[in-house]
Amino acid sequence: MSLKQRKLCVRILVTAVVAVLAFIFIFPFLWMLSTSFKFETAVFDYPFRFIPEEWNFGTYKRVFRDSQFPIFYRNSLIIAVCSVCGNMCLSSTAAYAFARLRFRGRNAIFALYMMTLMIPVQVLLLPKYVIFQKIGLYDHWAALILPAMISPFATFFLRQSYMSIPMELTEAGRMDGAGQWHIYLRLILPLVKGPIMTVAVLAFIDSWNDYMQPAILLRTVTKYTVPIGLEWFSSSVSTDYSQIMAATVVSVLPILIAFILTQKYYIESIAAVGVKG
Amino acid sequence: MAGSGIKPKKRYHKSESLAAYSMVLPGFAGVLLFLVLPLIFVIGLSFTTWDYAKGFEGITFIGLENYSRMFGEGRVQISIVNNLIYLLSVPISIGLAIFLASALNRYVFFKKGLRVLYFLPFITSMVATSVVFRSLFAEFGPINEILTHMFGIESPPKWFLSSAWVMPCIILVQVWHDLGNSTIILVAGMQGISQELYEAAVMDGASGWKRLTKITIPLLTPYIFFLSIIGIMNAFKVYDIVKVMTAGGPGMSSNVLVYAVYHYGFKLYDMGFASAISVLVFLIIMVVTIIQFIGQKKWVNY
Repeated sequence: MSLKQRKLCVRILVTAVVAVLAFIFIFPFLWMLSTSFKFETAVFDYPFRFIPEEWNFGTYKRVFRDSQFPIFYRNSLIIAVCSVCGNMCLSSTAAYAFARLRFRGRNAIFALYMMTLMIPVQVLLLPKYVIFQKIGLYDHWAALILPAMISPFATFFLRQSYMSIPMELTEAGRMDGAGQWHIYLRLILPLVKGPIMTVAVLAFIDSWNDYMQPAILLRTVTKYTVPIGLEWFSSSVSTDYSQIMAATVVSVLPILIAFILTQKYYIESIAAVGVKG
Repeated sequence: MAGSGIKPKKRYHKSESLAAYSMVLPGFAGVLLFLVLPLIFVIGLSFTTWDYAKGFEGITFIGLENYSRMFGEGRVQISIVNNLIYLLSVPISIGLAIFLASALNRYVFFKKGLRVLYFLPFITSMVATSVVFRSLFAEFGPINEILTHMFGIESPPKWFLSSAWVMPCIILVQVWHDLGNSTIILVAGMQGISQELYEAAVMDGASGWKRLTKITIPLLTPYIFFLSIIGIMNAFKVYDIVKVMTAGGPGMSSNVLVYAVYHYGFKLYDMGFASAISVLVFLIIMVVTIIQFIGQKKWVNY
């Protein structure tokens, strides 16, 4: 066997191993999808069938018609969009000032920002709950949106991007008599669109998948987001797995599809953030 | 540098400062309000006991009592042990990720498609993940069916309902969820390694294993270090998966520290004690961050 042939063999072999692993990895999704179309009594039939013997669409009807999932969707979307927009406005402006403007106290304030990077949300859950109850934000979306607008991580990440833009550009703007805000909005901001999209996508997914905070800070079912709605729904139908799986499919499918459509971009951003983060 | 005299005299332009403050202050106010203030509050509360129904008048200062109580509380001890067990997910996940990343980077067909497949779990919410795995591991679920029918195991474990198996199961689900992310980061790292190194190694007759251990892994150290730190932090911050999948059970066997915060704080309204546990989590994360900070200087050169 020549070297080339041996190399090809290795490639086929490794591909096979990786593909088998991938099948194991993808199995929970297949199980979820196929179970959601089965009747409750057929869920645990052996051998397992990917294609149901009898199709049951009633599960989806129930999710869309008789449950609050459409409302959960709307809620999650509002919360995620508001959080991300607010976060981008506040973080990109602060990051710009840290990176490119000189002002008294800059280093001290930035050092504080960096220190808050290591505060986990899990630690702040209890004080936030107590404070929000006292000031009347408990059970309001604002309790989720306002804190999510503050992201030392996004600020830090965008600051790096702003610093990589040559200062000459700012100088040129100043020569033309442009004001500080004008330089920022018209000259520099358009150059960091990419990094801003990166942090925006990450923040959106974070907000969309967040479970702990809405579970603690919201109480009214009609204000629920998709993850806590899913938990609530699945505990209300107890062990009717086909029904639970239909709700799960509905809760994860849109974000999976959105991911597959934008995956190239998203995967690259994860790699970039992972390395620098 | 200090006092060297070369430092340019700092001069702040009025218009520049004004613009800067208007850019920084809204975010900075948010940092103080939503990050610093709650942190100070939770640290303060950890030294108190709070009769929550009475409002702020119900707070009594008790010094370090909450902290000394922690050592005697069974639930907290189990939680700490479980958080430490959870650390096992870090080497498992990184080991698998190194294998997958090197396979995806060099040897495999359809690498793009496979990369996407492996990444899907990571963007699936923990709630959905937990709900699906709960049914996979159910008493008559597919995993036990396979064990009984294909491998002839007559009484397969009850997984999430067994105190012996619950932690391994949770770790498995965590690895499933995070593997794609670790793999992508390592693939990014591998793309920075020059092909010439491998070619030279092949010329010298180095085997695939040698190339992995002598070239790939050493050059990936910064990435592996980064993934380890993130993994260790996550092992102490874990909550979602435990809450949704087992609610800390059976009994107390899958309690972790953040779940204990939930239990004492939001079920028993023992806010002082729950705060002390929160502070413990914070201190652990802080130590890991400091280790990261020191390690980064040593290993990571961007």
